[in-house]
Amino acid sequence: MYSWMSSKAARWLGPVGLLMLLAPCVLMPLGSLVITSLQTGAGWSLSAYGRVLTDPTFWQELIFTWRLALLATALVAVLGLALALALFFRPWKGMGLLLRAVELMVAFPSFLIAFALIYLYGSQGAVTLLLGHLWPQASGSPSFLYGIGGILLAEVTYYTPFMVRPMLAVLALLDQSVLEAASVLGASPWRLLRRVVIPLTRSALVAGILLSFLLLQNEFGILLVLGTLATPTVPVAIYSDALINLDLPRAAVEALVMLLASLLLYALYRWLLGRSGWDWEEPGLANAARAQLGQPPGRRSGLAWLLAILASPGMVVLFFLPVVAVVLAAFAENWAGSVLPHSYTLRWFLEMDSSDWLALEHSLLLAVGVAGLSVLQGMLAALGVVRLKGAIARFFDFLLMVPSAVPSVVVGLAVLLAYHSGPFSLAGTPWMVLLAQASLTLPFSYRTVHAALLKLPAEYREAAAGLGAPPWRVFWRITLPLLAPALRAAFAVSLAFSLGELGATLVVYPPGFTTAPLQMINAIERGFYAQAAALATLLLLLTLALLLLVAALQPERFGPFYSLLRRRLRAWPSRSTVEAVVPVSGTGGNREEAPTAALPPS
Amino acid sequence: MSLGSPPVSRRQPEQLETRTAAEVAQGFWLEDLCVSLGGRPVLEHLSFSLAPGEFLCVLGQSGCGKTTLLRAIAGFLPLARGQLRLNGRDLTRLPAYRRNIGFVHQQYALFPHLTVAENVAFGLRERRLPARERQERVKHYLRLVHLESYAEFYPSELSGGMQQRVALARALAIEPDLLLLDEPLSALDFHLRIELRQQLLKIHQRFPRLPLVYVTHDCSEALQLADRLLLLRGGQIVQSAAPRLLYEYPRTLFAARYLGSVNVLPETICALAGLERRPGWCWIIRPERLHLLSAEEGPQRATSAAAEAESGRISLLGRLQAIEWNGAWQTLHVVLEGGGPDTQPSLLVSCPASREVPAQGEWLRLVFSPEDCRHVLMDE
Repeated sequence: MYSWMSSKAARWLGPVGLLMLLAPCVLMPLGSLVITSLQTGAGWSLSAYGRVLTDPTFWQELIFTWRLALLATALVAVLGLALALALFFRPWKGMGLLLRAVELMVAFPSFLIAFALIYLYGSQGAVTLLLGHLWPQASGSPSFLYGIGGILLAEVTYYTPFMVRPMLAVLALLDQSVLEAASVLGASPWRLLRRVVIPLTRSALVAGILLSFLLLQNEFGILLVLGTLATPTVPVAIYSDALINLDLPRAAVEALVMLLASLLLYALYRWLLGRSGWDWEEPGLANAARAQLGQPPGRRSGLAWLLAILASPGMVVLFFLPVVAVVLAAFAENWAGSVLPHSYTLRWFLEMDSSDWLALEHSLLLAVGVAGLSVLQGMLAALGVVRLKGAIARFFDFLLMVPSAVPSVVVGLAVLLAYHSGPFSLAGTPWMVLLAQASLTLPFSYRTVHAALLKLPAEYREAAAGLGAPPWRVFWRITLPLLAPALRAAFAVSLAFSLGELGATLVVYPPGFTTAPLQMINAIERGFYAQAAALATLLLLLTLALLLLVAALQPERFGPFYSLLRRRLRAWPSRSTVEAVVPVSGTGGNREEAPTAALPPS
Repeated sequence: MSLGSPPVSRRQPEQLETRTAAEVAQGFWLEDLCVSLGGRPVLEHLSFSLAPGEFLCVLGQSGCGKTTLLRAIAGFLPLARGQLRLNGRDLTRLPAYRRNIGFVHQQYALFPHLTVAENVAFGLRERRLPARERQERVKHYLRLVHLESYAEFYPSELSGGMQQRVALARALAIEPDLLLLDEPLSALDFHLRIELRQQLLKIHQRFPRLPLVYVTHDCSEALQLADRLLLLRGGQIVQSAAPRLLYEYPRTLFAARYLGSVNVLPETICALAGLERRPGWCWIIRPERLHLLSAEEGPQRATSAAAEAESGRISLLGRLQAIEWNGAWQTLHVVLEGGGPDTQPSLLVSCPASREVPAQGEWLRLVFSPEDCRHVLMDE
């Protein structure tokens, strides 16, 4: 792998270059976090640690965070696995498309889910009222939404699709002939599941569950909207310590404790992932709908019924409901006390003021900048890490995942601490927002490009070198074009992520600068739900448009089409130009008769 | 059309007494090549040379280091020690992109994002050939492999055999000083393989000064294509000779077995034929050198054996145990006289399928001349 870089200078150049590359988005913020946690008024001390670690409130928050995450993970895992199995063994037409759409959920900020749930399950929510109509005797119960129930519902709605996708990828990797062999040997569907499918996917399953736990533990947006004093969590505590109580050392210590916990979990996750041989970047959905559980003729088993129900389009639509609710709310004249709005209007869009439009514009510019920066950094980092071996490669690999393993609020805090003063001060500028978001998206970009690089057969580079291309030409003519799909995927995801980012942005945004999610949170906090819904709808449209644009820019997908076009175009004038080219083809003909004339130097 | 090859060195290496100075300057020459992969030695002290235009097949089981040898020559792997010399140029320290060696990968390694024409033009662009000349050369080499009408197609739109030909055209287009082919036909089906072998031979005839190294594990391919075979085992050369020579006069049992089936003659028959065996060696005979006389009954046995002995040929009596038939040929499993199938040695005899053979379980008589037996080292 890239063994042509083997001189001593290159061996040093790689790690040093990587450290410099990671300085602005990873190392500086991380260093600042550690330094701040050790600083007291006059000098250095561990007093902040003592203060936090002996504070029962902090432990209460930590335990509550974990309890909540554990509960949500259990729900997400069971539901996600059941859904993935159902979709895998009972595929239906159009399922792939719907699942792709569910993947777009990443572009839908998590706090919007919470917001949408207010419309759906609030005391005057559509679903609550619908249930009330159907079973009048059960109505009148107080809304469960502002409390642990609502938070769990929002988290499960938002994160289950994240679980389904990698699960399907794992199932797609299963050797289908093994399942067929088990069925032929007489295993019933239940037995097949218990004795073959689960054992074969166990470590990937556990890795997926750990990843979900990590994401749920770090969730911020949902808690900001639905959380109360009764649901204290560490990410929210870090946010309020840093920005409301202005106790930076305390916030830094809390952030570091979270970081440590996350990293331990993350190490466990990587270890399991390594054992499972499962590649979570694998586009599993596209290949998923292939297998069929051996269906006994005649009687349908209980499992088959369960699968059929779970795999029905209705189940998947459930995860779409929040998106539908937000869009509906944006067009509703007044949506309260009824299942569906009574009348529709464009009022909320027309009444949007200049600050709303400015926020959208900022979001757009920021997203393009973040995506570009993140892809560039991710690609350079991947190219650097691929060349390294052993412990040092693992170290950089680990370092590059740190921003994705901590709450976004922590990344925001770290970036704020690194750049709010000192030689690299960016205080009061939107650049800090750019850096914070680029830091958050860097792990994904890196991972995507890294996986693509590893999958790129070495033969291409060898063949190019054998044909006379020096290393940088090989990169320019072969590696870069072949990485294009991965770069585009990284760009799209970074773009979507940046458009919906809230936690880190909330910590670092300078006065007078807003993004669309910030503007929405503002509106929600002031009770202007319809305006927030309108803005959310526009943001959703903007995201979709940008993602479609990125998807459309695929020269290699249209390659065969272009080649057809070129062939047609070439075939058309060739009849008239044949005569003009006769002398040239004549010499070619001579060569054909005496091919030795064109031989290697003699 | 010289593509930047440096002036030819006239220094004659002493190691190659059998070659003239001009031949050494022109051919490919490799000495004491050692390659390690991940600390494990894969090739050990390999030396051989190739005359201009010579077609060398490197033959061996998978894992014997044959692909490693090719990649080391191309410059894709670092050498632990050794020297490479091509047309008088010292390649040892040159990076792959300065060696001017053509390489056809097993899976072709056609660049998926480039059209057929762009693939073939790849190396020409690296050599800064003017656009007009480049186009002409691409056209010429595509015509050579009969793909001129597919210039604007993408590799994914072509069949395996066509892709293989594009890879060949791409490697030839740079007008290399040496062409390396790494099992280029192994991914194709049987009939296509036979057809492409013919094409490859034709192309080889059109480049009479281009030396070729062709790696394969298929010995029928090697026997048909090569001017010379190089049999590798465990990173070392077992034997290197012309195909017919290697087939007829293998030096070791491994070499004999690799190129075709053999009978190891049991002690009793060796004694009968007057063949003396050195310790660690054995006598072998190819199945087609055992001739079937006819089915006979017991009483005539002695007289016939005596007659054969007079003509210098050895006669054996056996019982036909099984027949394997594969179209043009049939292979008979014959259990020699005396004893059951477990204790007695059995011999393989092959003869044309048109030859009438006795029914299974019948007696039959085999004859062979001791000159057809070979004394080989037992290295298995």
